Amino acid sequence: MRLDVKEIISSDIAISKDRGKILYDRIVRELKEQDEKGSKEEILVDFSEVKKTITTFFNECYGMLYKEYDRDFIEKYIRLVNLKPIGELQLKNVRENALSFFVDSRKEVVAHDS
Amino acid sequence: MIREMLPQNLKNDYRTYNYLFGLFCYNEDLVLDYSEVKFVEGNICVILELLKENSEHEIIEENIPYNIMGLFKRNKYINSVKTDNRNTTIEIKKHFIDEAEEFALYIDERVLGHTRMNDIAEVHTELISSVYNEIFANVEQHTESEIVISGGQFYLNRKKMTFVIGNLTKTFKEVVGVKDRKEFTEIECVKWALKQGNSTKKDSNLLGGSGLSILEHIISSNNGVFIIASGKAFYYADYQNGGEKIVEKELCHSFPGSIVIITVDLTENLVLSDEEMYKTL
Repeated sequence: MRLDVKEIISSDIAISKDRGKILYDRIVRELKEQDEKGSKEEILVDFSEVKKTITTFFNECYGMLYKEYDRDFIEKYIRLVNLKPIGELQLKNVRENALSFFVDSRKEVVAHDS
Repeated sequence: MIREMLPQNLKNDYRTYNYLFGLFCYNEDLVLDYSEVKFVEGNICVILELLKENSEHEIIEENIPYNIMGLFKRNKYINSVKTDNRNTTIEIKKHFIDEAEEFALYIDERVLGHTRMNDIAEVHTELISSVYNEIFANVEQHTESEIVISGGQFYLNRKKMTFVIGNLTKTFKEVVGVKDRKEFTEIECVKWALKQGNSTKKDSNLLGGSGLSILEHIISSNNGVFIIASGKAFYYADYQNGGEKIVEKELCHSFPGSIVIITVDLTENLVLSDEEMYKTL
């Protein structure tokens, strides 16, 4: 399954939180549809025609997924492809932040509850 | 009405910003007298524009020397039809905060599209552009500022370019405030915001905290310089010639907002391939 970012956000500039949310909603919708069909396949989120990105956009469309889904699940089924090198760097930072924020804090809650 | 004799040099240094921020404290009409001014760095026009934007009073500029007037006109700090025949300025522009995409296009056209950038590799210009867009996004998300003012200057001999992004309203301290039950100083607030993963949005269970850490990352790898001045905080990070010099100082006067001044080296790393370039980050 391939999602064309430029088409989904109606722009080749991926720098706004709002456009990030549009992409997030599209990814989540795809995951839900796959759930309903009972089949899981990798989602390729294709940035090939996107000229510009910033961390704000990735926080919204990708980082926030870590709030709802497990790390292993995200890394198995969602792959952002055809990013420019600067996009890879931004994504790396966002992923690290999301892991420490959502995943580590979830562990803290579990440890506290037990 | 108060008359201020401006100093001889207005440069990107602690002394200049300390002086200029003092001008923001006046609550009456102000005459800026340039009689003794010999040198002004182009991007200082952004601070002067912010001063006018901030003041409810009249600000009059007098006795501007011929060469300084030329600079002001080329930067469009003073309205003029004069074109920049030296082709070294990035003219001052006011951006509305809800126009991030327009700002990105402005960066592409006016900064990266400047003829002085023609020889700079795309990988390098993308890094520079991302830094500016991250800062704009930070202002949008963390302050209540309605506008951002930017401008800059190319220094041909030094092969450097300085670009400033400034906004009024909230300081770093007002945004960061109290963390972990500890009241931060103004300079501690700037340092906190520069650290990866630190975000004021965490309190609302939202993700943030990458933008400014990327700024430090990229500018250090570029052998560049950046200054953040906000409130009374003055944070200067100089990575020129592969070194690292950090200066943290308290200003005598508080600036009612934030200014980020970035100087990038237009020669460093330019021969590296994309892969090699990103390995350095």
